Amino acid sequence: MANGTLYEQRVKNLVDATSFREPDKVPVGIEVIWWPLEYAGVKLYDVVDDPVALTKAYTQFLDDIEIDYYTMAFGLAHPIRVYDALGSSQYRISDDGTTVQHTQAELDLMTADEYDDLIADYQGFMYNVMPRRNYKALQGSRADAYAALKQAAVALKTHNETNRLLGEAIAAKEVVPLNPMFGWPLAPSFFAPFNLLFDNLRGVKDALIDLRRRPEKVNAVIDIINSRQMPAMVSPDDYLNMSPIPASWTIYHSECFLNNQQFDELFFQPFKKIALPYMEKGAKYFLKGEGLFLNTLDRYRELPKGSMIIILDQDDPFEAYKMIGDYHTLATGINMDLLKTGTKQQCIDYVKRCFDTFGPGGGFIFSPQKPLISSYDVSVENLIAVYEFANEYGRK
Amino acid sequence: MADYEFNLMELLEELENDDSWEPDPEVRKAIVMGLVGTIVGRA
Repeated sequence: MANGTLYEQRVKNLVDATSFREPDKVPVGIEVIWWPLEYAGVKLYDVVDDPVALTKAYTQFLDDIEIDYYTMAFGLAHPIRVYDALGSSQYRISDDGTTVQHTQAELDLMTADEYDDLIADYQGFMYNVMPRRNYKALQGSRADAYAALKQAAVALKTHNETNRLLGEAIAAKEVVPLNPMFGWPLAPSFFAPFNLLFDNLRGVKDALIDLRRRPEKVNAVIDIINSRQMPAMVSPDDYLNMSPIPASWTIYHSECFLNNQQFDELFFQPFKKIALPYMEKGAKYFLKGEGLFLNTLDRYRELPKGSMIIILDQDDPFEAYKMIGDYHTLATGINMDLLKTGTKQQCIDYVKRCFDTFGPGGGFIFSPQKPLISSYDVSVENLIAVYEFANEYGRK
Repeated sequence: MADYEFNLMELLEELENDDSWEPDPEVRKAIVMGLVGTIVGRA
């Protein structure tokens, strides 16, 4: 982590903005996934085995686009070579040569009849039933499976080395990790246990059906997951002194598909139980929202003012601002459709409107509403113009 | 549950103790933990 003046200014601006004090400069941020490689004109498959070359390409955009902070992790999200070694196609490189796509539809998922097996022996089911279905290398002999696991471990070592170099590179630029996913003690993050069923075990459609048809089974699985949670690394009393940026994180996956009662039971009440003791000591939680979820925002008034930093996805930020903008920080400022299809002037006009509306009094940090994933997501010319404008217009 | 030829947990333990692919035991431990996360999800 850098300690230079620029880094400290950026931290101060983030803390001020998210604490409803007008910062010297509205922090400008980004979340990127695979797009930086496209920006550098490099294909993932050409550099995925070379941490140095990948890092050089991945960080090239930082020479042209100034950012104060980033959200979630700065690095490769999925260890694609691990999946290759284990014979899984659930993550694979798309035809563009860079974007890694998730193909849940190809997974051999748990059936409704198997809830009892999962509940009876959770660990056995998770280790020995599901992996065998979806990793071909684990379906053969012990020796073959072990050889594949060893190859996967070596691939993961390369992947981790790449992310370590990326972490060093972004730190050298004095860019602040808003909600560090690793690197120093955190307030506990929160990921709703139901999302394990939604993402991994039952899939989107069947997990949602299960909420209606077999809620007792769903609840039994959630109870097991909760009973296996690791204790928090840091107590609320110690937390603030140990975290330079007082922010942890949570994320929506299934949440935008839930009705209000389900949302409260499966996400908000358990989240509040975990996060509130830390919020009362000054912690802020970054909510990475996914989907449409204006209906969930009113709950967040039950939490201390300024304790949430909410990135919107498909919702209109001006509507969200009316609902919660006086109480929690919004991370917003440009939508991807406009960045992709609008003119440069239309983009800048929209960003200016966001700064003029959300900026006064604090509670606003600039961010696109989605992570940059592929080259098709944005017009680079628009993106550069928007960041030049945002970095200048947000200064006092 | 079916009777399998091997238990994945035992294989991962063996991998953690195998210095043929990584000499540092702490690094091995972290990598295997990462593998568990990748393969198993929330174990």
